[in-house]
Amino acid sequence: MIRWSRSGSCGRDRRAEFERLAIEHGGAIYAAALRMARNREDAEDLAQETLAHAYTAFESFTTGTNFRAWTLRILTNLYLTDLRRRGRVGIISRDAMEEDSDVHQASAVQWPEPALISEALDPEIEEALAGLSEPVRLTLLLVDVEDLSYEAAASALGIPVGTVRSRLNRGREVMRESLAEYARERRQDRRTGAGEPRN
Amino acid sequence: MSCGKLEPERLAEWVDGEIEDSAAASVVAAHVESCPACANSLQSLRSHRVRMGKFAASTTPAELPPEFFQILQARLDGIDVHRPKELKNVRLRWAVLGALAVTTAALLISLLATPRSIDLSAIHVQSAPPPGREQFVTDDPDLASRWLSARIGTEIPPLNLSLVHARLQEVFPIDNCGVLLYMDERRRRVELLIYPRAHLAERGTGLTTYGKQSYRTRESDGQSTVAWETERAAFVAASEMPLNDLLPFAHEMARRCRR
Repeated sequence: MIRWSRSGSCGRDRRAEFERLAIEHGGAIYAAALRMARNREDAEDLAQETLAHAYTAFESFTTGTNFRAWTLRILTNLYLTDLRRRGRVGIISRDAMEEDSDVHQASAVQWPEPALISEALDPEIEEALAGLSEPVRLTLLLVDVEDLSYEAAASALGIPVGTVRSRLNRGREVMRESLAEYARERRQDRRTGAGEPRN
Repeated sequence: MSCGKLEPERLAEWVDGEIEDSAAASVVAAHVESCPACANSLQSLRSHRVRMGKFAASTTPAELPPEFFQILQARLDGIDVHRPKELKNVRLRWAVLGALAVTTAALLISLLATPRSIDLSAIHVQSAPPPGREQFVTDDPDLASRWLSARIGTEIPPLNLSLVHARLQEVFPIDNCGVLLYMDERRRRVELLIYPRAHLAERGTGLTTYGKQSYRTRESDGQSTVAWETERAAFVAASEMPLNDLLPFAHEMARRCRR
């Protein structure tokens, strides 16, 4: 049972309003964090940090506007900052964001094991997303999964809308090829009977 | 994929609902009607959006860890405590000052009655357990408190710190003090020192109210300490993390110290 008891100098009503929104959107924020970070420990930290930052800046949030989109921007910012801090900046720096030449995952970067969102009903999507470079993967997560507008995604990522547009185009093309490849492999497996018990 | 007359990005904008101008949207729609290559691309884009939408639905919302909101609440309390306060109401201000004075007086009285006091200025974050000391590694805080009690020769209060957002790494005794060593999620060390039947000396510390509890705090030389007492022991959380981070953490520890 969740019990929110105190209110502080943010104002009793404001604190209560934030708590209501945090409970309502907490699961979605954690889900977005899981898809970004791809492991539960980092995702939990990321979601906690996001909501703590959101509360600190809550005075600037306009009641009635999109809380989820607002927190997603904070979440994305924190995730990018963490990536830079951990030295995965090679493909994620502002320059790389602008150039964005490498759609596929940089092989030198060590990522957590894929398919960590075990409840996902579509592991092929997870795998195809994991095959993208980090800037492109994040863009697809924000637009295709989180359903943000191009402008909101651009704002969250700190890049021009045109870059969002081109990343989406290339990322979706790469995913389409990956998914077609999986489909071919599945057909091949069915024809050869691979993975099926033999009599 | 592209027919050369319509940019793929433009088609995607249309599918994504990014073209607000209805005349411009109609141009794209009319072209797709008459262009098999773009109709094919349209089909592919729509399938992609549908599949990604299903992927989103299958993973949202994610089930939050059990202590998520409790931890968040402690953090929000910390933010409230450190937010600049505006006490415009004079009566309220006097009431707060009065309450602080009473709290301070009560603490001073309790300190005067102390059989043995702990000088907080002597507390330092240990880099490693002192050599020659017995050390015990466990993830069970109750087991840790029993082990410590036996080593110190004095019963220390049973603790239930298992829900603190950190991992208990080690436990070791120093003289009449037991030390539990935690690591938080950023691998910053927090040492919880427990002095059975002792009281806190106030030198060099400030009094900070957090939640409903008062703490002695100090932040200097890159080290923070947060100290509190129960009837049976004095506790000192010491860390290299900033006081703003340590205080909610220590508050959570204090809450979970059973009497």
